[in-house]
Amino acid sequence: MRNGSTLERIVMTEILPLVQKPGRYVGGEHNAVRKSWDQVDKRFLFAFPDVYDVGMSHLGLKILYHKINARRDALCERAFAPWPDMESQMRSRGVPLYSLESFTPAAEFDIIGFTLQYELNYTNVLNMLDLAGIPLRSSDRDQTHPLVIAGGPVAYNPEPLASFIDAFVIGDGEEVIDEILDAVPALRRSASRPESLAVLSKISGVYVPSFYNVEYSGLSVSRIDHSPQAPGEITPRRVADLESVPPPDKMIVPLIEVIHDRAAVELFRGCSRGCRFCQAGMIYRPVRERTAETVRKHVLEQLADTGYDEVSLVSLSSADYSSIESLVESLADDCREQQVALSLPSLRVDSFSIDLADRMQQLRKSGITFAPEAGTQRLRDVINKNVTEGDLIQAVSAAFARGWMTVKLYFMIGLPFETDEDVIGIADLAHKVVQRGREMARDAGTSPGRVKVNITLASFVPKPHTPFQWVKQDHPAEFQRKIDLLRRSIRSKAVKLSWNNPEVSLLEAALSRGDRRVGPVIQSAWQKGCRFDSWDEWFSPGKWWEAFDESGIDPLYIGGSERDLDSRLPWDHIGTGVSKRFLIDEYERARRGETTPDCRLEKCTGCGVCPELGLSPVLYAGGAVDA
Amino acid sequence: MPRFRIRMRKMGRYAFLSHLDLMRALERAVRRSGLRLAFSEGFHPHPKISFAAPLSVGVSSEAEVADIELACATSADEVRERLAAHLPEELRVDRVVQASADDQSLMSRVAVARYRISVPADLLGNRPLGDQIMRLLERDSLTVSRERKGSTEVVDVRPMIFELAVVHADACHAEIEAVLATGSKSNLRPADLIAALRECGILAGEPVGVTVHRVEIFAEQNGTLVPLI
Ligand code: SF4
Repeated sequence: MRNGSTLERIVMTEILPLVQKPGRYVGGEHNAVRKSWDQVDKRFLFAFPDVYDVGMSHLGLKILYHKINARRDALCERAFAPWPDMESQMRSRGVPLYSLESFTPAAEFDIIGFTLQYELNYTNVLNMLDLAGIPLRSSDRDQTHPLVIAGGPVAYNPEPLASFIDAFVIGDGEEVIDEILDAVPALRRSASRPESLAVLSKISGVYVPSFYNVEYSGLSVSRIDHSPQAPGEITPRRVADLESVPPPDKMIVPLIEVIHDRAAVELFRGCSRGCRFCQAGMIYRPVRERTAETVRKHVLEQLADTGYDEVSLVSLSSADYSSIESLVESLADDCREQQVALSLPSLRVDSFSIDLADRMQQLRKSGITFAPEAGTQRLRDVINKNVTEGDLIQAVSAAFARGWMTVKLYFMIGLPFETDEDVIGIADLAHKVVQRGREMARDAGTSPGRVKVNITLASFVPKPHTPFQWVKQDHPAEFQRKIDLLRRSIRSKAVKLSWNNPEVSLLEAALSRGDRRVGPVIQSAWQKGCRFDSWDEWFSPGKWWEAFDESGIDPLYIGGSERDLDSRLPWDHIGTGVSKRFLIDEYERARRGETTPDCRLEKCTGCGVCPELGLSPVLYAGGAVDA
Repeated sequence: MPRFRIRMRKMGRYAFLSHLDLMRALERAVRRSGLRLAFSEGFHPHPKISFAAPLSVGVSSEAEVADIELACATSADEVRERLAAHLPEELRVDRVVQASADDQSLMSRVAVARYRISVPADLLGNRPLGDQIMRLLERDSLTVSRERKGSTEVVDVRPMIFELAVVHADACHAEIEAVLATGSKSNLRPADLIAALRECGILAGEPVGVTVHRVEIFAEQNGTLVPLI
């Protein structure tokens, strides 16, 4: 039945000599798991809807891959979106999407699991299904096809892909994946696809969209019915204690260079800083730390098992880890001795972070980026980014003191309640940083002319399940006006400004707050040739707007309309654990410019996650919180 | 610090690794094996690993030769055994010797490499391949145009072909062995030889299914060619 070896021969001899970066398509990496198909009865294909270089940088893939392969009765193999040159070769030679481990056609697996990290990967999901020879729409598939499931942060608004995906998995994957694999025999026994889906929908955290009937009025849901076997609201999965899900040690090591090419151990999951624009800050609560001993042990084992020369201590805000200082202290010697670089993925805006990064000798490699996100204290309070101008000046001073001359600052534009003063405030802040740098350079006897500040602007995109899920996105013309205003406000040659394509943000807004009516638009954009929409060289806004136009849907209407606080939103039946009451309160506080503290530092601020999911924050160095 | 010369393979799917990928794979295998690499001094210390004559992506080889410097005393056997346990069969380390100062200078005098090129029969015309190759070798010059950094240059590849012979032919494919100039002084990539074979009509059409394998590389020492290891 499986013709892996023929496929392999065709790919190796006829196709790979003709494509860029053929190493993306051959597998064979160190620690890749090759299992015999006959000795397991559950075959899972992990499908990453972006190119290998991106997918293999993703820690979640490696966690689930090794987790599934640790089971005696199951195997997990991988497939990534082929780059367009590879896709055209595959199509012209009739080669289907295949797994890198055994060159098995994707359609032969029991389950294909996509991870959805970014809305702009949607067309790649469809393209991969099509390359696999699997009908795109769930309703056109039967028991001869693999089950197609999807998880990841974007699945918290599953509606745009509802007609293409059989079941979504909401929340942390480590535990629920076992329950899904345990159900495979029952899925096989099921006589029909709806019966299989009924089995799946009984697993907590699994959402089967075909069991829900939704009607809309305007942008809100007017009516939603569900079949009796499916829950009215999906409860997200959350691992209560990360200590119970050890990170992979024998982690797969790519053969070609990928974007994040390094060992990585998660310090903690979740973040309760409460930035109001940030979806990750809402959907992964509460903060759950690993102990420093566990992290240290796995860092050393991972390095020994992979041979990497860099290890990253990852989380949403690594400097917030309770025992970060002692951990870095204890790892620094080992790493120095083995010539391994230690890194944190993001720096907090304070001098503490610079001290840390300095101790890890990270700065030389990566440069310094800070994200104040907004130009004035008022607007930073609105978005609850608890950073002051003083923090920033301290942080950049610490950086300049260490001889660093260029600082990158990251801001959002088009934030809710933003005024022109806030936009001009970005320039003012940059000027202050330049001024500070010049003073320090003069004092140190170096040339003040070398001080540079690079501002990167991102357009704000309102995201589901955040306190800003109701607000409108600025019109592209308004973005342009604000960017021009900021450009005119920059008076120093030391300050450089760059911004992303507002059309990308417009599409992102239309997809991220879209509902089921956006599904056909995605399909039509894919048919017009859209792929790799997150890559500048492939993004074709014209095709997307055409697709929207033909479906009679205005992307500006989805992204650019304010929604009522009491309306029923298309993703409301997908729970995050955070209560809607809390989101509304946060929105009101934003309007009033009031901040909300981090529950790690003070008392519980009542987001609802802990009581709702029966969890509590897990911290290992004091700072206990009562929920 | 002890320096070792190793000879490894790059076969099967690993033929699709770039030179840098292979370097990284070797470095990681050394790290995993517990052998301690020596590093260069300076702001960005890097491991002391150097390969002779990088191969193009897609070319397989049984003669990838690298020098590595270690920060610990050990024997060549120990190095080979440890690396064997940490590399796949297709990247097997076949030989390791302790490298002398003499060996080091050999590395910079790589002069030629021997390749085996396999051509599907349907790319070959009706005339006997051996005769055509003989005729080609009789020519004084053989020019091809090749792309170099965005611009096209016309080069005479004939002086860079030292040997060219059909070593096997059957109904499915023919195997050609080629000894080509390799190294910093003059270098002929197998892909350019294949282009030349197309240009003079020996190969017809796109070279789909043509595979190239490096058998050996040699350095020049006192006027003779010696294998690097
Ligand atoms: S319920 Fe309270 S303690 Fe738990 S995450 Fe929310 S704010 Fe923090």
